[in-house]
Amino acid sequence: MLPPVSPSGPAALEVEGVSVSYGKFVAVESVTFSVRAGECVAVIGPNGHGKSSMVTAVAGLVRRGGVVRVFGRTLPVGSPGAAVRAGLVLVPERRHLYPELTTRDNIMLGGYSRTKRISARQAWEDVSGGVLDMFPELARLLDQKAGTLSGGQQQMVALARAMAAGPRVLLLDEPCLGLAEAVARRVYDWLAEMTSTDMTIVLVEENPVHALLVADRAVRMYKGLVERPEVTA
Amino acid sequence: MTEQGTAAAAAAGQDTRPPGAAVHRVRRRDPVPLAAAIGITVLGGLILAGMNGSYLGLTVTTGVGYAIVTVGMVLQLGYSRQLAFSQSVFMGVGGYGTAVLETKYGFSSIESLLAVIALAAVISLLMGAVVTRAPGLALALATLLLPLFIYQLATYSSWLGSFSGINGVLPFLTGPDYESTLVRSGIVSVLLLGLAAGLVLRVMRSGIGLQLMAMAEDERLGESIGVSLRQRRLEVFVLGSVLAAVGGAVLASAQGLVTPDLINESTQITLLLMVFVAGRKSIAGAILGAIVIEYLTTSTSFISTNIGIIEGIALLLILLVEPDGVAGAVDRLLGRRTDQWASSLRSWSAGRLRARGGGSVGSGSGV
Amino acid sequence: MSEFLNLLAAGLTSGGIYGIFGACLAVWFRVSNVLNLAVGDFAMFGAIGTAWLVQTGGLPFGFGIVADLAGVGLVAWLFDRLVLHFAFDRGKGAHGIVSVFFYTFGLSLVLEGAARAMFGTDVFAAPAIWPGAALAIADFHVQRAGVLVIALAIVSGLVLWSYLRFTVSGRAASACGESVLGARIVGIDSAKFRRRIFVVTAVLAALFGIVESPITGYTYMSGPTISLIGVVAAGFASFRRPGRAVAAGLAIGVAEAMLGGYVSTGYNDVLLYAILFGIIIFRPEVLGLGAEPA
Repeated sequence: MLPPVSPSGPAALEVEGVSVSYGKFVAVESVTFSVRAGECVAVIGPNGHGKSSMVTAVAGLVRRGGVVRVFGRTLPVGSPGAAVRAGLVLVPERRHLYPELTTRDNIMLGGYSRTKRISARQAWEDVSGGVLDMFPELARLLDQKAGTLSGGQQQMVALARAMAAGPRVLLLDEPCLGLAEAVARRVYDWLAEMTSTDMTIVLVEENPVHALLVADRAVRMYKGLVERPEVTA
Repeated sequence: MTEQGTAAAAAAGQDTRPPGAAVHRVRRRDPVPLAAAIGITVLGGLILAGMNGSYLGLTVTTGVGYAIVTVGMVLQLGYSRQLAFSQSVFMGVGGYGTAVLETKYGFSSIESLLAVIALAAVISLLMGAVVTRAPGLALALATLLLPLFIYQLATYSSWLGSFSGINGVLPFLTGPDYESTLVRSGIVSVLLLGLAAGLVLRVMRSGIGLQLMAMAEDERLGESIGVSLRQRRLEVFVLGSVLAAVGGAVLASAQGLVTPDLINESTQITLLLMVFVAGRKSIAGAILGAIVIEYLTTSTSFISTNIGIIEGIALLLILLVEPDGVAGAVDRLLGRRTDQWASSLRSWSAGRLRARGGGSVGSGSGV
Repeated sequence: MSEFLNLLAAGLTSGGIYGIFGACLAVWFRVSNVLNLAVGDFAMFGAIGTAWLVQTGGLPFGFGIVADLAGVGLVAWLFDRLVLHFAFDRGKGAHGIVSVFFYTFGLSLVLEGAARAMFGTDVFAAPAIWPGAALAIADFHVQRAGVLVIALAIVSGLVLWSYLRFTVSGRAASACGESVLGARIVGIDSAKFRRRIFVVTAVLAALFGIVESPITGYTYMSGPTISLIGVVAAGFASFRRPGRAVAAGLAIGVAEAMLGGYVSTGYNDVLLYAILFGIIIFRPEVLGLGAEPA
């Protein structure tokens, strides 16, 4: 089954027997793996074999079977709010920004579950420093409606929104889908920076070559199952 | 696919049927519409003759009038998802048109029917050319306003009889006495319903029907398979409106009079309910729904006084549980039977193939 | 001149109702992508319910208002829990453009039927909150209730606008309508926002019904017409902006009054609806609905 969790680092994310079905269709049969704190694990495999469903279910957006633990804390099923509060944040495939809201508001809302502020401006000020440090190119886009941004800019905003939530475990579902080469490189540069911090990252990527540029190891999914638990880079 | 392409593919042994789960073969001689038209006329005629001019017969005839309208709405609302709330207004065109032409200009009942059809066609063409330009939500909003101001117009106009409407609308066919007049006119009404159902079925089961479905699913999809959206929208609007006018004429002639109630929102509401509850994609559903609901609204006093609550709850239940209405539920139940039958047939034939030593007829795994 | 001012006052009063209904519709649509076609019926229950509680039930006026508003809030909450929850949170039921109208349409039918069963077909008016004769300055008359309506409409519009514009909660509410998944990812509970704002706008509509009903009586059928104009007012605000909806409602009310005063009393509504119809069809961009290609 799995190699035991290394005693030198607590498991940031433990996924045990997670399964996802849409009606009669079984998208994810049973997935088990764990990720140590600070690790970057890539989830690779052909499209349509359950990678997105698995990651979406782990983040609490879809009903699932099985158990998910974040730093030892078990997450309830179907509650993305609980996941975010435990430090698990998903950057979904196709971003799902709020097109009529400004970039500033999109990012600010990332911190929704942590902020106690009533005023939107103050909530923004709480997160703006850290986020703009990481993504300085967003500074001039703050007042633009998110729906008018380019694909690459939107991806930056989606990443910034996720970071505003103060995650300890970051799930990224195909972050470079549909992006131009230059932008994808920017995203991967950022990812590389993140891996050198103590952020735990799970990266769903169709292209294994890209993924293994930043990942410490990979998990391959095929037909809703984890194929080989360890593929070292 | 072009004609040549289709022929070539057919020669090569490929499946030349248009894509889509529903089988909409472009047949020249599809027997269903004609069969439905004849069936409805004969069945309805027999029923009305049996009722022999009683009050029930009158109720059924008014139900038939509504059914002609709802059949058009199946095309507009159920099939093409064109949210236009203008049917009651066109019923008014049909009803008031008939009344005015007959009482003020001495038209006969057949003449006024034809005139009203032409009138509705022209009005809906003009209106439709403008109105179908607007995106879905705008169309819905604008046509929500339509009954409001047409109703005001009718009630303030003394030429249109103000609140009391116009009396003296002729029945379609007269007979020696009241009862037989009712029966004969009723039969004409049922004939019109049969024609309407046949026409709509013909459209739905043609290549145009497939285009309408594609358009309803996703307008961009429709464009990508070469549908001229505006033209289709216009055609659907005109057909639905003309049918509504015919329905209005039937109602007026059955009741002998026309009042502004025909054009107000409650008529539109009743129509929507008939279509939704009975099943907005089903012709049979629309017809039965119209007749049943019309019967219920005029029958027991409990139901007619509380009709609002009952209609509201029925609508909510339908929306939540079975959006395709009663007809959809029936379809599902029947479909399950045919599914079981089909799957046992499949496994039987697979077994035969294997026994003959052929390859397995397996379904692919994964997505 | 005084006739103009009187018409203006009357127009602003009815316009205030249209406007606030438009604002209630716009705010809730922004959050839920559903049009509350029952908003007029909530107002009707406010007016008739309070009148009935006070006149027939014998409750003191203040209690009557509170009891009525609480009842309206409860009905709204129940509707969300029993119908909208299943439709939207559990993914059952009809979707797409149909859901925009027909759920609340069904509710409106039920409310009207219930009102008819409970209150009959009479005309009701809740007692005036600010009783007294019409205020007069020279030849200019305005009903006291009218002043209340206009003031309340402006204040409510401002409150709704500030909520959406300045607060985190308001931003989160808007996000719910923009992207369901996007909202859930950051931990926003869209169902809760939808429910709360539905209840708030229902109670607000009921309050307006109470305030305005001394001017025009309400029957069980009064709801739909005002709902419809409210929808149009909300339409002019792109179904998103409460401030603009209030302004649009006021404009429609004034137009209606002016048409009645200067053009024709009988046909003023006909003209008004015809004009609105024309705008929606010929200039859907005004509603934020682009004209379609092809």
